[in-house]
Amino acid sequence: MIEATDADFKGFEQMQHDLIYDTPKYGNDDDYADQHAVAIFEIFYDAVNGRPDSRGGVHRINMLPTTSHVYFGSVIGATPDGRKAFKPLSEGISPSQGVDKQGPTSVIKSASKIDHLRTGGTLLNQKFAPQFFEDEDSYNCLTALIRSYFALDGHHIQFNVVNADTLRDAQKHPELYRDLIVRVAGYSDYFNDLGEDLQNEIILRTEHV
Amino acid sequence: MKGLIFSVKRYSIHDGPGIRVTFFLKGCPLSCWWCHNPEGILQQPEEVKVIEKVGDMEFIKFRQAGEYYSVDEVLGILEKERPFLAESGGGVTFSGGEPMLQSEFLLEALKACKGSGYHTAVDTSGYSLPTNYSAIIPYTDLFLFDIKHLDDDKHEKFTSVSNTLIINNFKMILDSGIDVMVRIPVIPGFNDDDHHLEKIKSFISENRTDNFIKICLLPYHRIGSSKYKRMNIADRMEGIEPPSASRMNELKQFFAKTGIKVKIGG
Repeated sequence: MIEATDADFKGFEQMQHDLIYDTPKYGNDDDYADQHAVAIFEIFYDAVNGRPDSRGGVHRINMLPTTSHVYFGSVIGATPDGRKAFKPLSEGISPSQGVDKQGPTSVIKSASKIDHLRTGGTLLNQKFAPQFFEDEDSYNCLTALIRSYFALDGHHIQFNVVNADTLRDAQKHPELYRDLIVRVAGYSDYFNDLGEDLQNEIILRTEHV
Repeated sequence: MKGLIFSVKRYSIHDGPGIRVTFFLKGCPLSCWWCHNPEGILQQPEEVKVIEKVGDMEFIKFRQAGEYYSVDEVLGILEKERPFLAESGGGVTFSGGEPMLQSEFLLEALKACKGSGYHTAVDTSGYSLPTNYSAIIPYTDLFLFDIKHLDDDKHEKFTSVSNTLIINNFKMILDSGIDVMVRIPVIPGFNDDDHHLEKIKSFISENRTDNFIKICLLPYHRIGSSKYKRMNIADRMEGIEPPSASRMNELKQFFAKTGIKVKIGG
């Protein structure tokens, strides 16, 4: 593993593939994977919380990098989750880009295993295609999704509605967008699972929404 | 007693009210030309080719479509989703394939789900023995029922089965008083000519009851075509284009004349 990450997975592509596609990941309501997220949270909390600062106060922890996950990623080498060197880290408590395969409810379940109440705030970002906001029923479901998260003591959630440029990028880099669900027509599916023609059609349609 | 399931979808918001979990049961007695879930037809596990990309490299993997689930495993999945189902007034939907093909498992699963307090829906082609429907009716809150074509010859040509049984089952289910949403796939060149649309509209008007709560018009789409390629199956819909958004709106208004709520999509 150390050799592979030192080489930024050059010559270790099979291993990188297995790490990306065949390893349990936080964000899928999988207790095996999620226990590691919880453990890391606890280590961070114990290391920082309550320590005195230079102005007579004490430190508290937040789990919200705003945009600094991009900067932090740019100074960190390849990581054993299959992430290449200098690519962005995950955003706050959001799963790493593209690893959440079971949809938004599972992400919320995973995120709520962390104890948000002991932090000053957390950040959870979810990606949706605009086709998920097409009628009152879908709004009501989204409302219920948010309420459920707060009922589970979640702190903060925000939604990105993806645009056509993002979809084009997803065509080029499908491994970064495995979680991206789009609504096709009376039916929704992972963007990655669609044929190229249909992907192009959805890109066109997204531009016109 | 285990059921063969080829997909479990969480945050399913188009297969009945609220946030649901939809279980897709594998195996279907129909062979519709426009089927978008060809991996749901065969009633046994099968290998499906998937391509996984890492940078510019492609890794080909054969994934098994179809796994056996016990009723307890189904309940376990629902239990994990319970906060969302409860908050949204959602529940569980059994779809397919044709879920009635595994009617014993379906009955056990529905009983257990009802017993645990979940709203239950069954998405069916209507092609199963009437006794199978009578058995599940006490444990089903909602049927999503397909009406594809009212002319038997055309129905048989494009789906490989007669519609007689389907229409009889439809009437029986409506008579039971359970909520029914009718799903009409809008397939260009198959069931969308004026004469046939008029016929479906009259059929709906004649059968209108209080528990006939919605008509869902499902526009034909080409999502299946990439699956056909991956599975090496001939695509009988080659060259057929999906109906336009304006055409779908036109049909929505047309069916609204029945007095029943019409929706485009699930």
